[in-house]
Amino acid sequence: MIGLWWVDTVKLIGRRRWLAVPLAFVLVGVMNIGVLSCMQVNVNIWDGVLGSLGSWLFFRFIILLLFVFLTADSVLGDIMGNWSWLTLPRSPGRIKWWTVKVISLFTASVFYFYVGTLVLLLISGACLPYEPTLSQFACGQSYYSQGLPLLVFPADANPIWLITQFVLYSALAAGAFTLIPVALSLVIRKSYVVAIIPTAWIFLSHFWQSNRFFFRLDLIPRLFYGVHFMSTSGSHESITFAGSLLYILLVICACYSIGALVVRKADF
Amino acid sequence: MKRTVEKVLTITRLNKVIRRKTILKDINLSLQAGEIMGLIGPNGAGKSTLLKIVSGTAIATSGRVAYNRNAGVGILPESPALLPAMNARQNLELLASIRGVIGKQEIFEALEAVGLDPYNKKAVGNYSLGMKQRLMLAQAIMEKPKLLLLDEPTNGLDPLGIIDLRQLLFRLADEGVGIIIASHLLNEIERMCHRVAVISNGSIWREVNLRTDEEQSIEISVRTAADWERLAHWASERQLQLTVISGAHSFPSGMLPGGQRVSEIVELLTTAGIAIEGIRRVPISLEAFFLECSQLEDGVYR
Repeated sequence: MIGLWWVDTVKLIGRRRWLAVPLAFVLVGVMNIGVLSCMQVNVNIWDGVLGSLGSWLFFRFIILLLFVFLTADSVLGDIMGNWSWLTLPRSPGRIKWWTVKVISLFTASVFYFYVGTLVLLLISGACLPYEPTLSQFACGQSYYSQGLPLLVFPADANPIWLITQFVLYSALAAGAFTLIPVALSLVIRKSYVVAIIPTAWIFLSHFWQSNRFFFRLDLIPRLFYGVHFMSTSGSHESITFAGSLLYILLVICACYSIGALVVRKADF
Repeated sequence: MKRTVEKVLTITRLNKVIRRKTILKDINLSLQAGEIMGLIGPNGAGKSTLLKIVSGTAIATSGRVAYNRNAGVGILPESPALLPAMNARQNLELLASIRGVIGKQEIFEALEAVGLDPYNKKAVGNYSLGMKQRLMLAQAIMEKPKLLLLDEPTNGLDPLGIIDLRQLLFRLADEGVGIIIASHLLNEIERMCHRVAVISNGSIWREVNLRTDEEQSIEISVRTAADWERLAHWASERQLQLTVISGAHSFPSGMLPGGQRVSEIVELLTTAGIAIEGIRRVPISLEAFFLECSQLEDGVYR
């Protein structure tokens, strides 16, 4: 299975389209520094990363959307491009093949956010002053400090550890969100499943924001901002860090199970 | 090398139905070690589906496919599936890492066997279709499987590539590999295969052994009309079907079914006083089989 995981991950990450990752994060980093400059607050290098990943707009419309475009066709592309003919017969079994697909997606997600964070650190390092601790803005009323209630931003917090948590949480959430079109593409083998559905979801979730919405259409892209959303909209519903983690894990389990059921009987 | 009679593949009562449409119906096939079998049939007959089911990329609705999975199966899909940014060796090393049963030596050997340079650093995306096809063949054979499934293996190959492919397949068959080839190139199938299964409408319409006399008819022409009469009588006594070919403006000719030795027939006819003008064994024409199974149905081809 390790060999299969390696092949899947290399295939996922080794495509030319991943060259867009540093460009996108440069764009996000520059825009974030621009926003921070407009706010005229004292910030340092760590705000460049936390602000970029913690921004509702940047995360949803650039970071998450790009990740979806990079990876959501991982299964569909294999089927359409005959790659599954080469890997499936070499695999120890269909369920293991699907399991590896899911693990590779999350591996790619972690890689994506670590590369992105590195780019953000470089951009921030070039534009913002270095300090060993978080800025007063980050520990105070910054929009990104309210993103995850558990990830508190005390003045003595280790910025690297905090960013690591941010990156891992981002990777988990983005992977879970992308797993939905990946699992769907096993059933509906059309390119719109892997491109249009997540894009429409992200746009709808932005313009159709309602915590009272029964189907919680926008839940995953907004996981970061549960508390923030409550504070700005006055809604009574919010998502805690533990709640969001549970929600993400449930989504992963559901998509994995649906995928496993389909893969057992699917033709590739 | 002497061939063994070990079966490398047995397909029993295989059926495949997709959305109430029967794709494959009651397929029974077996393949011996060292045997090269051709699958021919019209487009949509079910050839690729059968190969997919055998390889495990598609699931049969019912029936059984048995082969030694530990010995592996090599697959060549109809269109190349490779990572374009990597070179040939990197592509093979990546695929080989899934099972982890071979090393760099076997990968080098496979590349050389299909006529590719293992040291070529060019990205596969810049390869010609023929080179990609050779590389796909290399990935199929690199783990030395006992069963090889090739879907249109001559796609994109130039005449030299086709000759190389033929020689490679003969060598693999001599080493005991069972090979199934699905192709539309009937001439190549005739040259490469020991046996051919004609698939039509999802069923095996006919199996033909290309390497035995049983299936090869005997064309015979005699000197006069009287000789023809005697020949017809002789054939009828032995319950052999004599099919008329010509006679109006040339020597009367007919076709006798295969399964007999030409030398024996010559001896028997001479004894019966029939003057033979010519006799020869007629090779099996796959084209004729193909046309027969693709008969017009209500004015259109199926």
